[in-house]
Amino acid sequence: MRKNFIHQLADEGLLSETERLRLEAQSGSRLFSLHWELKTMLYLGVLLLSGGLGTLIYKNIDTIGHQAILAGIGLLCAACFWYANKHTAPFTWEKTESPNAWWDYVVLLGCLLFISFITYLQGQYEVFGTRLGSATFIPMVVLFFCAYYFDHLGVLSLAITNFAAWLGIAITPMHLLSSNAFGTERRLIDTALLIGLVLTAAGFASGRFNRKAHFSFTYYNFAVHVFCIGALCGMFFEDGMLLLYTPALAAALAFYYFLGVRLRSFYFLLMTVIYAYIGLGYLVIFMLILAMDSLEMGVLYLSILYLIVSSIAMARILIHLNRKLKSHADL
Amino acid sequence: MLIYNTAELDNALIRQEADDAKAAGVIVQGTAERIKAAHPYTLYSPNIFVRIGLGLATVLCVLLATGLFFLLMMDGAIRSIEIFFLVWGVLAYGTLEMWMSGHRHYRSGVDDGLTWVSAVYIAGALVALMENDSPVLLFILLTALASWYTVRTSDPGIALCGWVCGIMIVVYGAIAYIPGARYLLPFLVMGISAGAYLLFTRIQRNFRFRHYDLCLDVLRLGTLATLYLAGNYYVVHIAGMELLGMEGEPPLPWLFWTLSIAIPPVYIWMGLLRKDRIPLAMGLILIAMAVFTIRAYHAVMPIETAMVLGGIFLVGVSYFVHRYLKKPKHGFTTEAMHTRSFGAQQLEGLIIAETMQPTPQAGEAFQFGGGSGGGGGASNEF
Repeated sequence: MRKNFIHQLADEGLLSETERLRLEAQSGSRLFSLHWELKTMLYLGVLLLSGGLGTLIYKNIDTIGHQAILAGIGLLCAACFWYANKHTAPFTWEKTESPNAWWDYVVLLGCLLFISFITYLQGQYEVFGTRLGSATFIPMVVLFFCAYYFDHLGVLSLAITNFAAWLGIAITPMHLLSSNAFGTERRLIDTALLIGLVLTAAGFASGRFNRKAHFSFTYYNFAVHVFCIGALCGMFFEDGMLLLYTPALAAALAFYYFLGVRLRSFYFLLMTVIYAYIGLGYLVIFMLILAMDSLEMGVLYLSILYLIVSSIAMARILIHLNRKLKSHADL
Repeated sequence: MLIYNTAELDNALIRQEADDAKAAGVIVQGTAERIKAAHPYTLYSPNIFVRIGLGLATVLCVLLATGLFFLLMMDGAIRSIEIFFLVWGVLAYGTLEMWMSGHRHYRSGVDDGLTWVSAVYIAGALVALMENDSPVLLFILLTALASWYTVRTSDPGIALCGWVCGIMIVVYGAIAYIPGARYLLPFLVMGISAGAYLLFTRIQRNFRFRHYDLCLDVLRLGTLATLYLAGNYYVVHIAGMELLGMEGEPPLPWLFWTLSIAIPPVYIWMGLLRKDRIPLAMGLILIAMAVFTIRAYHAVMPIETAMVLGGIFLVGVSYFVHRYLKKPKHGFTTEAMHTRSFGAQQLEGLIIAETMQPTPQAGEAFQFGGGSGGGGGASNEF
């Protein structure tokens, strides 16, 4: 605590003499935490190592060093899993605390190397056959197993994105809109809705049957975005399908609104408000444009007026919802 | 000086520090509660999501109102569009001042939105108005504008913009008015950055400036960054060619190479010595810049070998630090100071999924790339 505040509080009679002395002693000698610095270094290290080794395999494919690199990756991977397994608590369906940040990233490195390994075997020799999209199916199974066995949120996120990749779309935050050609193929939109439904069910089941209940947020988080963006793209791009995708969006928003209220999670309420705002705005302006013939320039003015009024309304709704869940400031 | 109610901001700081002291076991629960009862905080400071939502809504409102008036006054507005935006910027700033004196907001999104919209309008109008004048005068005006906003709102982003504009005054001013500037410019910027760093560090320790803590953190990061960039071989080389029309290798190459490689470790050492997160973080970031500088001139080894060696180095260092600090030593610990937050863990998971995708993603052709995501993400730094 700052010295001036200690004096002020002591003068106001809010601190006992021992507390004042202890606060003054503490303000001189504070522990300095290197937690985030080390975590960032570990993250970058694992990123470089897995990326670099993955590239090394293919760069040296016809040389003698090739076998050695493969063997090295296999050994390193085995060492990671051995270490991770040695230092983890026995498996339960409850949440287990990880020993430390270092262990978290050993597990992650092990998973990434293992997948580089089997992707290589698959690509080179088609060890697992070619049906079922096995290039992404097998890594997905491995990732889900590791996520549950080691209780690791990062590996779970990888597993979920792999599940979506197996079905044909990319759902990581940066790629959700840029890599999927939602406007050109209706199949992709329906896949997104399907993935959203499956992930929602997975999140619901985790909580309901108490199987790693703390994973449910991660499932829901991917699900709400994939489903809502899929439904919105359906509304925007599929002519004549408005009556199909609008109710789908409304149903999802209703589900996630009540979920947010039940979990006391402001995050989900915010997401429903934002997606509802986009959907409603599209519908209103769509209607106005349909009435273009009779309104002419009025369409532009009415649209701008609608956007002003609706953004004020959105702000008021956010304030209201925040008050409703006041005790809960986090996710 | 601030547009906010500073007595309330003090109460917020006291409450936060009381919570920390209670968590550290220095004061008892009852004391913390009495402190909080005696120092109530009543300003509206909602969580980050409401803040973003309110900020976007505010910005949208001002933008749309501007657009509506622009349409209504089309003929006049087009002829003097700079003045139009200047007037709207001043109006938005006036709204900010009035709103904050009446409404009890602090970092609610409304104030952030009004601050940024009005600052961008006024700055944009100034840039457009002064198109044909000397850049020095423009940057002086922009720096003055940013300083005023910083003093009134203590917004860290605007403070940083102000620092960048201030450095621009030095760069353009030296080129225009000092004859030997081409050789002195790096040292001038380095000297001014170092002086500003010491000044901001001293100011930050002063209790009077407690409400500008975050601003000063950001400004100190900015000064350390410009100090390094001004001495970096690559930057000196490129800036010499672009700004001053110099050709070939810059003079005193050995000096700039030494600075490029030596400054990041010096920052890290400074941060650890003083237990100061700002130079430590900057030093770690700038190591990537130093590596980039070396690789821009000397291809020491193929990229994947460099990645593997870099990865082994980073993982190795963090392993030894984790082992060494199993029990806190010399005032350092690897434990997180506050309890691990759920939000941070979720974000970490998302970043891992985004950057470490080991299998081919949909939309990419299947390539023998295993780890295409990892390689692609990191190659910018090496």
